[in-house]
Amino acid sequence: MADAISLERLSFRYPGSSKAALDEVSFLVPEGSVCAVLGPSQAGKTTLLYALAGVLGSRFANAKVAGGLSVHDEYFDGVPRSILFPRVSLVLQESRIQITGFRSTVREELAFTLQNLQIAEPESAERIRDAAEALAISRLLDRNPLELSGGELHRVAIATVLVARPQVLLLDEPARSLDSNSVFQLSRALNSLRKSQTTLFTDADLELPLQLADQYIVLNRGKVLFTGNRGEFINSLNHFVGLLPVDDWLEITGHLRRNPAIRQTIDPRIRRFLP
Amino acid sequence: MSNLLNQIQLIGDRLSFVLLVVVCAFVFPWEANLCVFLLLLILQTTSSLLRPSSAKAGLLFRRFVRYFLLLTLLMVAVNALLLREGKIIAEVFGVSLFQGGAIFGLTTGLRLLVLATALGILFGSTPLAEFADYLGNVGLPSSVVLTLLLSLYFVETLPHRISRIFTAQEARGVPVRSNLFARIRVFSILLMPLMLSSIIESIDRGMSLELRGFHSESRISREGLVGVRRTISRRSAFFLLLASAVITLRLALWLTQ
Amino acid sequence: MRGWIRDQFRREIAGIGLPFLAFGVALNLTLGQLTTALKIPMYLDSVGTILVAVLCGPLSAMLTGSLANTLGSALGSPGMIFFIPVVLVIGAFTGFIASRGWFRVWYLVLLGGILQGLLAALVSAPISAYLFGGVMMAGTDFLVMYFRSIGHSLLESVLYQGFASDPIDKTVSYLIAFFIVHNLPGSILARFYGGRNITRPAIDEQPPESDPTHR
Repeated sequence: MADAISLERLSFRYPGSSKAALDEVSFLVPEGSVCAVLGPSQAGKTTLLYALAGVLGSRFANAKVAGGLSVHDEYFDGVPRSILFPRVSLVLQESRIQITGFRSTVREELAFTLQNLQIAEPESAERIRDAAEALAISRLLDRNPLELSGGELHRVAIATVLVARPQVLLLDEPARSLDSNSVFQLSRALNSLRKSQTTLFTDADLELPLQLADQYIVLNRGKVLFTGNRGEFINSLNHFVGLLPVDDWLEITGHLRRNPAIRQTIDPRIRRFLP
Repeated sequence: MSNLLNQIQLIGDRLSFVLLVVVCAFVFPWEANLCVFLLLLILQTTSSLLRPSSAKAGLLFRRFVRYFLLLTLLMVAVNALLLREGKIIAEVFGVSLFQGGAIFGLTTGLRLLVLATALGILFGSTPLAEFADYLGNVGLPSSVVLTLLLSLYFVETLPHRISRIFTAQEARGVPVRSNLFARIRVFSILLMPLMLSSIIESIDRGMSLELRGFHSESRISREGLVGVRRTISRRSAFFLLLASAVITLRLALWLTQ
Repeated sequence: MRGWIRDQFRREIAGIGLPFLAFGVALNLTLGQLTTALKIPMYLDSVGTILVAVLCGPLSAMLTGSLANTLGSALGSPGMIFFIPVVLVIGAFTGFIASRGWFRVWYLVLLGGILQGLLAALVSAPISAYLFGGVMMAGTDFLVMYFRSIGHSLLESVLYQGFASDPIDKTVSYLIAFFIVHNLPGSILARFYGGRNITRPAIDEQPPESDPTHR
């Protein structure tokens, strides 16, 4: 499988900052995979997404950068100097900011992205329909985005970039402020998108990553502490005590190790996420 | 699509009508402007073109008109009092009111009243978001249209933010109801959280628009309506012709005087 | 000329985008709510324009002021639209002096505010006199009436009233904008085209943890 994303000793320091936000970060993300970037606050997770989306290069021309990154075989020395949309699409942490706020329906909100790309009918309507179906928001298309619940608004926010059919989808803490039910719905929606693009998302918690991701990267203070698949990550959980909220998961895995029979009593839809 | 076309043409008609009224306001004497004002009030309730788009818009319009009526009366009174020209038309508590001043006040006041009523009718009958769409479709730079639309968002949310910060600081014991100097000091304490959170949000919004492919050259009006900018409805043409006729007549009168 | 305007405007909003201008528009229209809540007798209806002028530049500020006055008219203060020429002057002048570094030090800000006030009074006087007859339904109307009662023409009376009150109003607005820009984190200031015109302590000494945009 080819690599959708490849970082080679990427270092980035914001102008005026004495510390590197990213410090010799290297990893690979295979095409079509879902990768979770985990870490505590100020670990560099958002900076990493901004680097991949081209935000850092376009906004911080005087930053200190070293290394490089590739997106689908296109190599960038340092970081991309312009935003890579629609090839690489980024969904911001705050859904409220992702939407324009002046389109009166979800459909018009999604159409705004397509107008920017100069995509006309009937392709525009088709893309809106596809994105809405993938994210289970078809019934919300005629609703006002500002009247939606947090979970619904977040899926709409993802749809606003999904209509562009990106090759790489970046999500900044998509599960933040969502209840468990909304996280599950989000996980199901993102799972359905696996075939069409590579997804990379950040999180400070484990609920969504363990439901969804097959690749894991753990960052702390700009450095990579871990890269690996789900099995390797779960087996290393005890190394991240204090960095990630692993206590509950350690307890669950501990229970499962001591009582394997419990596994059979767990709902099959959830069982597959367990170690 | 045809609904959208109709909407755009209606806004064009309203703008042409307002232009006609503006021309009349500057050309007509005060007596004619009084008639124009009364006609506007009637048309605003009877004409589908000029009726308010919502109950809230209707309320705002009535505020508009009340404010400017009051302003006109004040202008007449002040000018009648201070501009001592012509004969005395009244004596109030020993103070004389002059005809010249009253007429000047009426001329200026009624002109302003007609202008304001016309503007009130325009904005009352056209939701701002539709107006912004119209501007985008007739060729105004998208940066202007987008800024206008985003301003509506901030105008809605800033007061809530101000209220939240004010309440939070009051709950912390900040002396928001103390003497004037203390309150001025409190203003500076409340200002920075408001500024910082709003500036950061506006920067993030700018980034999010770019992340969705928008840049200052993008068109943001709904597609398929580019051709509308080149068509003028019969109604608009009528209003514009009438405005031209009024200007021509006035020029002719002025030249022959 | 059009090309220059377009390029200059793009430079002014590079890195921050149009929403900041929209915020400036809304600030003009809503900051008065804070002073009303605190019962401070100031309206501050041009702080947004001034802030945009200092942080971005004159063209952005002129757009901000014009849109604020247009929106203000639509939202319940119909007289505002007629004073667009005044806000154009405010935006242009403030942007110009900010680019010359006047917002680095408070005494130049003070001088700038006074000059701006005098300029605003000059531009607004004819509008106020010929469109509004000198009556704005504000406390300053009494000043106009006083000047008229001692024999001055309408235009002169409105002008003198403007010279008396506008410099104070604009100086206060300038000082508020000065306070705001000098209390913004350095990393945010650096994002603005006009940020380089504000003197800051050595940026290298600022800890990144205090910067809310570094996540």
